Amino acid sequence: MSRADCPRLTLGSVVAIAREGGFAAMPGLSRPRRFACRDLTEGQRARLQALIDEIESLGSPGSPGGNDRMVFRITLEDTGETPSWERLVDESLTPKSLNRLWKSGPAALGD
Amino acid sequence: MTGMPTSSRLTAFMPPHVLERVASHGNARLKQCARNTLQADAQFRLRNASRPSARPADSPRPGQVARYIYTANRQQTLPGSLVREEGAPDSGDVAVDEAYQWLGATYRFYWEVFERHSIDDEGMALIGTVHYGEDYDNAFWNGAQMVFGDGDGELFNRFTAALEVVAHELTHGVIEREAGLIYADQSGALNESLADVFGVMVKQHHFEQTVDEADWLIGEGLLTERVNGRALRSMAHPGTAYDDPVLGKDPQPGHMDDFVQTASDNGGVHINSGIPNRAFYLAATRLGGFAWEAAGPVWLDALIDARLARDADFATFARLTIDRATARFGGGSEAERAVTQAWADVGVLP
Repeated sequence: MSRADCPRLTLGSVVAIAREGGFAAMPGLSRPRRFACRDLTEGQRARLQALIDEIESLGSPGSPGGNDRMVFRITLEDTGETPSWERLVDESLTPKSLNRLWKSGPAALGD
Repeated sequence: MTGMPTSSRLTAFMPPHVLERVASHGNARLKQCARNTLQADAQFRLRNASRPSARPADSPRPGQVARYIYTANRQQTLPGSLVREEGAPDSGDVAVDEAYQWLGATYRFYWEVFERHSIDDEGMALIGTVHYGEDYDNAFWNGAQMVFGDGDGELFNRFTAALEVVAHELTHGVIEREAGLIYADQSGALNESLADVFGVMVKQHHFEQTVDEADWLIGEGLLTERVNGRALRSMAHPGTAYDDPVLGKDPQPGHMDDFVQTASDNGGVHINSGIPNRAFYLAATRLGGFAWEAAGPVWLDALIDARLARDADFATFARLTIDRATARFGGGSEAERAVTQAWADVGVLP
């Protein structure tokens, strides 16, 4: 997929991140987070865009296989709550920046 | 994936189970595309699994286990560094020695009860990696080996602490080789349930517990004292294992009336497994004695039955267990009645 095809964040975009699965698949471990671009600084939006680009660049690597693996679900909502873009990323292929963002929230995007 | 939006922008990640369905049910062009992608996916998996030449030696003879325990040293590289292999003394590392002991107990169960020689029934080496990742709250089977995290210490203890967790992960290997149940929706929940069923039987077998003495808990001892819960799942009473401000409430149903429709976790494979889990518990407790004497063999017979399709649903598996109970114990036998009643009690069969 070319860069031009990557979703571009706007002020109305909302990015949602949640973790799923695992042997201990418990509701509280999903820790869903939502990042409304309107509430982010320009620099934070740029870093979030870079993460989206990085996830998109992973393409479709397939599943590493096996059972009880954990997966991140990243969803982009542009208008309303209907996803316009969604990716599932296996934990073993997850960019570190995504893991930090899921763990720490907007603080992981810097100022 | 269930509930996955269908926009073309949402399809770059296509889970294997969806591809497999397209390969078997789509039109000619879609079938070919799906087959090509599955082939590429299989090549990807091979690259990421241990190469055969790199695998340690399998068991030299039936009845003898071959264990290899590695440490990932808090990294996420597999298999890591070898710490203890078959016949070596205690390493002094609790997680290493637990993995070694529980893999041995699991091998012994499959061998002594079913004369099954390891995961593939051909003596496959049992490879386990401990100390995987940092504060890692999980254990998994990657298609070639078992992997165990240390837990974060706040909510979870190390995942080797519970025998049934180790047995659960090893059993995923057995299921993969015997039935290849697709890891999504009902077949995925069945996959999870079978791993729990044999995991809990390994625990009962090791501690010589009858069905009435057993706790029927999965992951007992994994939760720290800070958590309000006894375990991760209860096979006897799904939905009651924990109710905690941080972890939430155990969402498992014990009856088809409460089946959870969700896209998350491959269609709720760790949630809806509560239904077949309870069916096994009901059948085993009706029959009494040790679970591995009657109910266990019926479930294994069904698991290895060639008629069990990769996308089997609960009802298909239920009918197969009744059929295998009849074949093993006779029509109208106590076992057949107990199995039939169990599936009716959880609403899978009328």
